[in-house]
Amino acid sequence: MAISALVLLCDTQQSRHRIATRLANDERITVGPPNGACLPLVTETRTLLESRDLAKDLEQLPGVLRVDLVFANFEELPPI
Amino acid sequence: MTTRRDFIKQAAMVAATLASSQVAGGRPNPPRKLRVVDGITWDKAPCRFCGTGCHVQVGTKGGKVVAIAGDEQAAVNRGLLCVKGYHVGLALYGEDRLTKPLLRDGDEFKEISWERALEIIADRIEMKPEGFAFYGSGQWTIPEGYAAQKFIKAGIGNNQIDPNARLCMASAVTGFLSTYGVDEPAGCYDDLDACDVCITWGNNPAEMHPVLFSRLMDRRSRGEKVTLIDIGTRRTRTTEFADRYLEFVPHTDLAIANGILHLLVKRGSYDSKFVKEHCNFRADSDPPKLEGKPISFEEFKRRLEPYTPQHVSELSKVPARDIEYLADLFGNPKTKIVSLWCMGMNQHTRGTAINSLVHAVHLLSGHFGTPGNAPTSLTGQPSACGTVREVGTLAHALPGGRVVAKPEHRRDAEKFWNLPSGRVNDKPGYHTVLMWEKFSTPTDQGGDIHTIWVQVTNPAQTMPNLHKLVHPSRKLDDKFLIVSDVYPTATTRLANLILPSALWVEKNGVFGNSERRTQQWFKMVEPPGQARDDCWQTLAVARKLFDRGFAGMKDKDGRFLFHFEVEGKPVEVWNWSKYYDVNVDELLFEEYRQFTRKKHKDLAPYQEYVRARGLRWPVVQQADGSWRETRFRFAGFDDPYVKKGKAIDFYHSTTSDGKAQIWFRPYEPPPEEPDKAYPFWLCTGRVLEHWHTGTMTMRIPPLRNAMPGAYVEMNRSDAQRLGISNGQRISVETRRGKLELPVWLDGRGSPPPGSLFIPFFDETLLANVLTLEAYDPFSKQPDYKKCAARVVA
Repeated sequence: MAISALVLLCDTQQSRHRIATRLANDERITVGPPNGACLPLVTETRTLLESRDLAKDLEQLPGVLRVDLVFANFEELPPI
Repeated sequence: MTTRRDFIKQAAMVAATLASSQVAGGRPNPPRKLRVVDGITWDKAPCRFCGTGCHVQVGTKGGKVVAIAGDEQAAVNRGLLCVKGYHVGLALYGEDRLTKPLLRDGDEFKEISWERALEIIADRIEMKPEGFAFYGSGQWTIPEGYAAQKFIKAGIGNNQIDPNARLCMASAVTGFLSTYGVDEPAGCYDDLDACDVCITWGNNPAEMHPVLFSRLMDRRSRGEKVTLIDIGTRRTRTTEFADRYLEFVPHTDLAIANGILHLLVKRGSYDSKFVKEHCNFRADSDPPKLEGKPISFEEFKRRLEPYTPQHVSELSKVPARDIEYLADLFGNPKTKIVSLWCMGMNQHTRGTAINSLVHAVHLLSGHFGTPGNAPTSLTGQPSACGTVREVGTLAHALPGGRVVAKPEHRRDAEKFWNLPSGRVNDKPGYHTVLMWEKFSTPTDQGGDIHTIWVQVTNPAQTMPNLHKLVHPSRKLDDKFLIVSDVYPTATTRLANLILPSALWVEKNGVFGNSERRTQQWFKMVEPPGQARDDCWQTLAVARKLFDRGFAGMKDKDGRFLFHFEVEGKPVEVWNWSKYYDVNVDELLFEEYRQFTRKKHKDLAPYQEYVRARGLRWPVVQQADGSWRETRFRFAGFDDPYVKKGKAIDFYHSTTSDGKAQIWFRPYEPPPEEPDKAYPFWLCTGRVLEHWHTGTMTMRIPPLRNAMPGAYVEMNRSDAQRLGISNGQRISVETRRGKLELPVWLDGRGSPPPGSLFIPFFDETLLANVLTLEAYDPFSKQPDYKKCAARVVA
């Protein structure tokens, strides 16, 4: 499994609230305590590629200005 | 029960929450030790990739790097990382790591011992020391570069050492030297937090320095007004965020800068007080010299007269109103302006000139020396500043801003290195282009470089005009290429001898980033197989020569050139089995540190960097014994070397009067322009996902998959006119070579009609068979950003 931490920078706190509600239903995502227009997330995916695709999808969400990746754990992935 | 995965997820959430507080404008967190679960050890290191100098937290377990996190204690990146930094740990684990020394045997390589490899190198040197050259890198750590520098300048004595940084930032160096008398930016990244306007001159930080760019954009997201002006020859990701985009004809950036200067003078909107107190005027001399000749303000004004907005617009195709807009901005003393640049201004046959002109615009307008007002060059490599510019691993340089041509500088080096008087050669070696040209020229035709030892770089992919400068050498039996690297590359494939190297946290290291910040890290995991530190490789060859009686490897007392003692006992720095019994990096760093004070680039003791997330020089000891870094150089409120009572003091002025030089540099046409036979401009460069030649990033699956191969960007109108469709493979040809690759229309970047862009990261599609080796007369840096090309569908 690939575990990553991301920070979503939203355009408004309203957007952040709407996005947090939407993402709470995604079993790959754990939503953390919001801070201003920022929303911390932890994602858990089978591969790093899937993790990257998920981050790209998040970037496309309406109201998301930017996605920053702040933590990556690839301990459980097989050797490259 | 809490599982291990839960622990990791908790740690990830802590990192994200902390980072979000900083993105949201919070204060940096107090120091803390990031700890996930027992078994994972966390330590700090600067990122291995670009010159931004982000710090990462590296998690290791079982002898492997298993996790990476942004370091929230780091002032540079405040816990954030870009897509490359996020994956930097995986750079160590490509399946084809080089693990044994390899010697060419016909078309194959056979494994040999390290001892045999060292013997071969020593033989090549002893055969003809004057024809041996070291080709290094801005990815050398400071101790690695320092050891190589001493090996050549004190040991071999031929000054034949030059780095790949010659290809990326040499024009920035000559720009700073000719303007301020000393190299490297006066400002720092803090300026990005304070500026009202940021101008990117031929620069794409959204892809090349993404964390710095985020730092700027974060301010916008918090409601601050930051105006971004992109001056470029191709629309990029940076352009997407820009308030105004000025697209200019390649090479005419000099005309634009002169246009701003012209209007400032004509309107009287320049800062006359700042200029009177802190500046002189300068122009090119005949014969050309870096320091030029003095001119009066009246002469400066007269030379600028032709650069009216209309004339500049005719040359550059930038609308006259945009030139006036820039002059309006610089003419307003209340607007704080940062200029950023990187390869666009440096890889330029007038690189020194355009660098000095951007400094001139800031100086003439007084946009200098206060937070948010700075002309700041960015570097592409993690230690281009620390290792190349400060240690001076260049053919003409000595450590700490010294040059071999000056007797007093040579005397300093001989003193610090305990050498007999006269040991350091006063004749500069060959700069990069010339070094490789000599290597590719038959010996009986003047090709007097017979062996090049390459460390931490990939010249068979990055040198311009590869068919002229690199490939011919491989057909010459008496030319020998030694390559130290971590993976097979375009260069190892051409090598006679390959040495496997340790990478990043497989060794101790110190880097110096773009804002004068020196950063240290410790070895965290073992390198694979027989891979060993580049620094050790240099020291081991030096010792081999010493044991054979090579005079240059002895100091004036007959001791080994790299003689070190710890607690009164000599240290066998050449003995791999004992190499990590002591911290060789610290020994070399402390010796090097003596060189840093002459040009006021003072470094603190090594142990200070162990505790810090980097310190910006000059780092000066305070009365209480602590060490204080300097954020704003030459500024009286921050720089301890500014004379008391002065607001600004250019204390290394080339005119010895505390003043900087405002240059007049005319626009001149480039050496090659589109014509009937080759009607396109061709520009080359980098992409977000890959770092330089892709040696590391192409082995990181998410990055490789995101950007798997090179392409040629073309304007849609040109494609339609030529009947070319998106994805179609076409041949791009110049007078030097041709390359077949797919077309990408409206892709990552968007060149204007008549222009092409090709990234150089792909070793299977070598962009540099096309490029021109013409270089700037002062910096000797080649121009990779413009030559004439044609396309054949």
